[in-house]
Amino acid sequence: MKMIEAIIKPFKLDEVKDALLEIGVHGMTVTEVKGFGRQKGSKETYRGAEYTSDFVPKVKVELYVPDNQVPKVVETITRSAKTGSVGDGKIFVSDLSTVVRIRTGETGESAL
Amino acid sequence: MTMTPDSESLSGLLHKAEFEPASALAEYRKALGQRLLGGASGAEVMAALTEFVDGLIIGRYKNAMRQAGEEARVAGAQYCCLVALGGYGHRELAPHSDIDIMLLYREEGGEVAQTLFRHVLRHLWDLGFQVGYCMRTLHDCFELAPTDLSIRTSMMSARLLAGSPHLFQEFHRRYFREVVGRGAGPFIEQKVEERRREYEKFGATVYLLEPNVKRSQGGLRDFHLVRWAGMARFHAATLQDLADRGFLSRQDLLSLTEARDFLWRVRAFLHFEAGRAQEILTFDEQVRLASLYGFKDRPHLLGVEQFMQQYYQQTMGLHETLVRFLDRCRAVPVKRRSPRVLPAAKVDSYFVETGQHLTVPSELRARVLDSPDLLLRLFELAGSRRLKIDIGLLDEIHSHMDSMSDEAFRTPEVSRVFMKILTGPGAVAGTLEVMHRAHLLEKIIPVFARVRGLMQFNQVHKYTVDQHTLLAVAKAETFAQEPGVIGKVCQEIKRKDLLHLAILLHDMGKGRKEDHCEVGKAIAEETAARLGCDEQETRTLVFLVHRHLLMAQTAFQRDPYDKKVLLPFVRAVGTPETLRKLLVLTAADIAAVGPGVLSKWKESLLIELYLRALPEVSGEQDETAGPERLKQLASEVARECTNAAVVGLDWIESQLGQFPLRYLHGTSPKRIAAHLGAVGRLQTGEVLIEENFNEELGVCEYTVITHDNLTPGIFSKIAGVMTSQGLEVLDAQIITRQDGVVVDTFQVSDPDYAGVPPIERRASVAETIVRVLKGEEEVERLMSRNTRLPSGRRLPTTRQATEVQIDNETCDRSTIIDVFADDTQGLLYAITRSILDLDLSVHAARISLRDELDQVADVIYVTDRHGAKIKDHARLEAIRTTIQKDIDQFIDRQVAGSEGVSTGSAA
Repeated sequence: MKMIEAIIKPFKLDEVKDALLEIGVHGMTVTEVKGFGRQKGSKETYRGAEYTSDFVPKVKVELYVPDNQVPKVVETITRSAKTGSVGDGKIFVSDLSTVVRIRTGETGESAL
Repeated sequence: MTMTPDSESLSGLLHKAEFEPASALAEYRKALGQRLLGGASGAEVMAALTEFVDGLIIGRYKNAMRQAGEEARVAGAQYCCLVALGGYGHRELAPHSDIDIMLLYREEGGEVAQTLFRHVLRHLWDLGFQVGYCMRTLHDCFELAPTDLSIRTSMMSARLLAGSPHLFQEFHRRYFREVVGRGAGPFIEQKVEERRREYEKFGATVYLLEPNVKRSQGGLRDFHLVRWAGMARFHAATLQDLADRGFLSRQDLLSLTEARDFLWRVRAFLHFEAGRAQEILTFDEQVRLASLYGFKDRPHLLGVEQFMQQYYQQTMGLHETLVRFLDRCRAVPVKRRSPRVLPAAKVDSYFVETGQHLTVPSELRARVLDSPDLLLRLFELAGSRRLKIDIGLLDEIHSHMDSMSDEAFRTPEVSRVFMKILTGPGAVAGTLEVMHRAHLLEKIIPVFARVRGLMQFNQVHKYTVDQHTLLAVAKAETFAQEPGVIGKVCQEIKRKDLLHLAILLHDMGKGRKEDHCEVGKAIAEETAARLGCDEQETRTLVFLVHRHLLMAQTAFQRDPYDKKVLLPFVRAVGTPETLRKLLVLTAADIAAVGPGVLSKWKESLLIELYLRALPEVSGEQDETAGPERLKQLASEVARECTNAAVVGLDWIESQLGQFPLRYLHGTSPKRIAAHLGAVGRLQTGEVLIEENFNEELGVCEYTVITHDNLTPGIFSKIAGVMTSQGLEVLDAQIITRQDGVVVDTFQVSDPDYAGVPPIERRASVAETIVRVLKGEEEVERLMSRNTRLPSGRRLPTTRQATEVQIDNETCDRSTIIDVFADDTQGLLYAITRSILDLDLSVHAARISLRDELDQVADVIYVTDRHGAKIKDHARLEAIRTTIQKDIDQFIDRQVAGSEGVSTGSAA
């Protein structure tokens, strides 16, 4: 099992969500986040005074999937979140040691 | 109405309760539930349950006395008594309410009292009741009651259940002599404060989407507070008593009892359904109750929304009555004081200011009430001086409004003062809210009557439409006080009245079957006409209301760095002032959905879009500069003119006045001077070229000055020349002045030369342009002679779809064509050629706006040959598809060419 975290542009969320549902992903967690990567924060001039937003608004999508779904999910996010310009985001994949469904106490892949 | 239609079965159940109390209670509750469904009132159900529980408790108390022997019987009858308190004391026991009881005893009966009480309590616990209980002597009672707020309050409704009547009477007499009226003022204030904290916890507005029927604003607690305050202040045992003595108006008595009965019944339903003291009117319960109450879904208004509208009307009525009544309770000591103590200042000959209040002397009231102008003046004064309008006067206005038509409010003076109220500063939302509560706002904006308490049945909104609207106005007011971009933007807004009016109207289209933005648009138009707004004010207002979702949708769902997104947005908005208003409206709208909904995250997305759009709106609008700016610019240009003295400042100024703002903003005075020089020299049938090298950008600028009737397709022909000479057009600005003078500027890069192209090269380009425009040379011939393989810029590896959009809304005089396509050499010629073939003429254009994706966004303003805007839908669609097809064909050929497949000459 893997945990997949994707940081994407906010306006891409609907597209990414629809694309993921289409390939059979059951659920996801979405958080409004702020941050910066290589894009750095943006600097804009407003009425002469510089308005710096060090952190750019992004959306974080988290999902937890069986190993065999990982390539498909990563590919789908990459495709649907892409605009081609700076700041499209990143996808992180990491190992997940266990999952428990609170209602039933099931563990492992059947709890995903 | 019999309180207990089945009193026989009651006594039967009571008998059964001796042996199987739990099942008897369950059965009885079930029967009551059936009666409620059958139409019984909440009061009936509560009275019946109280009676049943009384029976249980009294029976158990007597039983305990019997079982404990002679001594206990004497003690139980003489030294002790069992007293019901709180809601139970009032016989208002809802199906699963707590039971508050007190065992009152004299020292002599202390031990026996404890045994008896334990018996009763254990029994109640066994039955599953939540019991609040205490054992007190008279001494305890009168030590505690004056200091402990809740004890003092719960004892107000003390009722004897069993035991010594003498003891209870003594308690009762002393309570009413020593406690109830003592320090009534501070007592009421403490209760109000307690209630205020409760509002904070359970919702500081009546219009919660999932209200708590007891504790939220307008809930049963508001009714209780009237009762407590009335008892403390006026020693009135009942509401009727208060009304009889003139402390409650007939109307208030009616709205109190109606709301109380309504809430009692709803609460009984909630308790029965949940099987416990459920006080929250959840969405599920709202739907269930709406159908139980017989509300049917209508096409545009769900049954549940109708039910909740009734709920809000009842609770709002209750809450407003409470507020009025509390004011009356507080007013008593003020009246007792000599009136001379309060300085009364006359304002405007009709109004009197006393302390914090504004009122109208009784002899003038009739006149003020009948005059819309004076009424508006009253609210305006109260708002601007931060005074509260006297509560009695508000009552009178409220009841008088029914007899006034909204036509009476259609006067210039009403409009003027209303706009003044909307301007502020400060107290705009507060004043509007009071006007709304007095039913006066709906005389000026009639649609407000329809949205009163109109709920929005979804999980997002926390407030009803009217409450949301007023809250949004308040939010916009607070933004102005805050640091940060939105705060600054707010301060820069010139017409606050239009902003506030737009916010007030933005959701007025809700609750109808049609799209609320469209309905809102019509309402905005109607309101603007009513208030006598001029054309520009109307346009701004209608736009803000109609498109109030535009900015949120664009910022949250689209990419502000995509020109395809930014351009239509910018053009729809038009001016910086409108952009500022739209930003504040959007932020206020979101903030007024519920606490915490406007997160910093959302705010930064809005600000991002705002900052992206601001430079564009500052340049896009096709307006001319104001006279002062023109004067200043003329003197700047004159300094650059070699012959300024000859032509004179007036001539320069009149010339500048014919250029659109975007030209004046984007061109240096030096270049303007050169262009004007050419305009001055221009003869009929001539073409003049002003060229120079822009060091800063590293591009050549060619400005072509001629008359527009020289030849058709000037723009297209110039673009063709550029392409044939191997130049890349980076930016083009096409201006056709009203007098027919054309000033077209092309910024081009010349890939054949690194750095500054030599003079001869520039002269040759200029000469070619002149020859082509004069008809001495054909573009087609040039193109085929000079065609070369595309150089320099490589075609992007992934092709973006070409998109052509037509915008017929923004500009009154021209149709606007937006083209988004892959940046390809010669593209501009292909586009303009296509436009020329369609028999259209170009009046203005902005090319470039390249973004990171190697895409070009071209904005072209066109008309037909006769200078008229294209209105025919079929024609527009044909234009769109033709241009798109031509571009695609052109790019396909270029791609094929760049891949080495020769297709012969281009174009």
